[in-house]
Amino acid sequence: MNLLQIENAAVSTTFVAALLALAAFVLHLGVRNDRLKLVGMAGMAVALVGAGTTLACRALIAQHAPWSNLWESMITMLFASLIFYFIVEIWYKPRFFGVVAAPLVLVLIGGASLLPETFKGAAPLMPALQSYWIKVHVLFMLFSYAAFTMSFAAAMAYFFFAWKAKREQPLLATAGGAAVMAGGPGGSGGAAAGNGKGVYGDQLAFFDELTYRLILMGFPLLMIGIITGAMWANGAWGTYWSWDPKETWSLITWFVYAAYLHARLVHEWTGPKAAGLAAVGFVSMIVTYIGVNYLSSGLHSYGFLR
Amino acid sequence: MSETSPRPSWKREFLTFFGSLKLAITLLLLIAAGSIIGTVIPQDQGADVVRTGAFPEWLKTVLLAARAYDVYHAFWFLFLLALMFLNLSVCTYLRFPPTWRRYQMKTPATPGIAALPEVVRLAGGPTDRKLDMLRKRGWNVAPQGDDVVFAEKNKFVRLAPTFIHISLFLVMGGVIWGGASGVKHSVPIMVGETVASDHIVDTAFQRGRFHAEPAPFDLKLDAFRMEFRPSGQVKQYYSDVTITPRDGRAAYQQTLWVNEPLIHDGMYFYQSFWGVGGFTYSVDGKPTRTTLTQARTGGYMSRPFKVGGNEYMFFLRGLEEPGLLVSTKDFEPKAQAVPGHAIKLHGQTFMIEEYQLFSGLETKIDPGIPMVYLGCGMMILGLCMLPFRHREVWLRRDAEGWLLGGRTHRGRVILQREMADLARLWDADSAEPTHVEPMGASV
Ligand code: HEM
Repeated sequence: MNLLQIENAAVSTTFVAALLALAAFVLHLGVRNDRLKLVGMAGMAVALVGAGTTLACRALIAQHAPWSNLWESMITMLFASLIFYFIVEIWYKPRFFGVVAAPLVLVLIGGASLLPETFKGAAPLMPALQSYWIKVHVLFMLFSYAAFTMSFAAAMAYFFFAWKAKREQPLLATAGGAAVMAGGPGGSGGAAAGNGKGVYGDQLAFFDELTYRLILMGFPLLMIGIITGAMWANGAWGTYWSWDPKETWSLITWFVYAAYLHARLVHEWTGPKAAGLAAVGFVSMIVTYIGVNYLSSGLHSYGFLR
Repeated sequence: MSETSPRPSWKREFLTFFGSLKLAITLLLLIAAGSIIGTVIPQDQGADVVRTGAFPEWLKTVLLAARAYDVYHAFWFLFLLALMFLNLSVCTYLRFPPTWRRYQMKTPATPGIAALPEVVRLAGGPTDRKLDMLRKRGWNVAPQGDDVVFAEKNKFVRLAPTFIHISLFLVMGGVIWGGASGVKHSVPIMVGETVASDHIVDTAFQRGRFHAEPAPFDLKLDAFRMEFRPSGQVKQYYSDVTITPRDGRAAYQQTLWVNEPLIHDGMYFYQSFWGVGGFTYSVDGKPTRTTLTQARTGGYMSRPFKVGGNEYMFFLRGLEEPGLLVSTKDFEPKAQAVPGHAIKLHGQTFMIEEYQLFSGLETKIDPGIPMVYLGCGMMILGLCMLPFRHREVWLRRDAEGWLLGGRTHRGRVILQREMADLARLWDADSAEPTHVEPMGASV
């Protein structure tokens, strides 16, 4: 097998593994057999290895850092997202995180595979981009995007359990669930999320906090990404900030997440509002990542020194 | 703030309002929202972008009033930024002293254990071995008499937000100082030409009121070179220059290229753009040198010159295309010209001998940069502390035995798990098992 074949095989393996993982996680949610969760995690581990192999092949084939075009950047983000997934699994031992993380992983690998060939090309870099800083800059941005993607997964899990809690609590109340719900119906409101003791109360409090934790990881990475980008710009044309649309959107994302971090300090502004703000941050991140290219052209469409 | 002494009430109200976190959140979101405008409306083309844009009249009025074509320098945008820094100053003023006092405190007042968010019952009391186990895991342990042991971890994280906020001031200070003391200019320079540093500063398109100036020197462009890839794309641009200080120091040569600026006495030269600045043509072998200027429609244009009694202008779209000889009578192209190829025109031989390129050097002096970078470095440092949490636990004896109570700033579920782990470790060292409630989040 040559490298290109290995790369293709790795991409397919990643996709299938993520798909199987998702199936296992969904079953786990329904059946609550923890062995299914292990199957799902095994699938995610295979996906992680697959993404890593793809990146290694890419680096060997193209002879540059494997995050230089849209396709490569998506694979790198996928790889980073899986790393954050496992950090969460290992540190926080959540019961139901995989079921929200796996769909996003699937979107990344599926989206990358569906990209037209032109986004995969290894075009030589224009002079301004031949810099050490730009590689560091892009890598940090992609890792911050990955952390924010996982925080979005956690926020979605929050909404999912809030919805389930709303739907099932009346049921439980009539079906002798009173013993389980010794603490009363928890987690249906923002203030209650922190100390809800209902069936889902703990899940709600947990995902609220997990969202926050992941944003705390993504925020420094984003900051380092923005600063290394500014340092590169300063070295390339003597201006560290030029309000180029992509630059500006990364700053907007930064402001939104800064608002999120502060919002949590206000009487523990946790719960649905915080999860909503995390989702706004994620949308802003997506615009920064790809949406900007459709808004207008700027430095990042590389108009200098053609 | 309960710590602050009584003040005239307007002052207290001012501090409460401008130091409030709600204002901070509002400002952060407003600045984010305002920034979006500049990513949708082009920022470098002046008000005409709005005036001639396809907007309804009312929106045009609003956009013009808001300076949407230059938002980042618009009054209201700068006002929001200023307000944020006022907010930050007041907030730091109010909150830093108590934070610092707590930081210096070895053992904070023991709270009622029931008031702590997390409490577990332990099987046995503290022994030296158990306390050592805590210390090994990074806890700072301080026994307080026989009935209470206090322990904490990662206290430094408490200072991180202050660190971050001060770094924001440094960045902003550096930006403002750079604006006040900086110089910025774009210098197109033809091969063989010399520019003087004082001339650059005098004619700079941006020059702060307190601008710095290097000891005068001359910069001569010896050569401008392009390096190509096999595919024909440009790989790199180089300018070979000679710097001759006018204060007696020795002249020296240096090459600068994209991403590798030349720095002399705090003045930076960046390889930023290039173009065709002129060309030499010959009529019947007699060479003449003339300049080309950038045409409004793109490409380059010469001034009129005569060939065989007829007047022409030379038009060049780019180096990869032939140039055009355009008659000034009817502005119709009459002939194409490529360097080194003679053409017959009105019985005379016309030839483009060569093009003269200019190298575009972006020039700047920015004394604010070190401060901006210092601020950025501090901010990164402070932010990297944040994922760590400051945790405080108390071991306390009550009628039935020992309790472990703990708190952390923001992070309850994870504290729960950590307390359970601690209790389990404790338990491994005790005769009886510790009773730990199963954790909701982990089951
Ligand atoms: C761009 C502007 C700002 C950034 C990037 C920023 C960043 C941060 C960060 C990262 C934290 C730590 C959050 C956490 O631990 O969860 C924090 C905490 C805080 N910020 Fe800001 N901040 C900004 C503006 C402000 C402003 C304008 C205020 C004014 C009220 C403010 C007040 C606070 C306070 C009171 C804390 C909590 C301190 C503590 O935990 O003891 N911040 N800030």
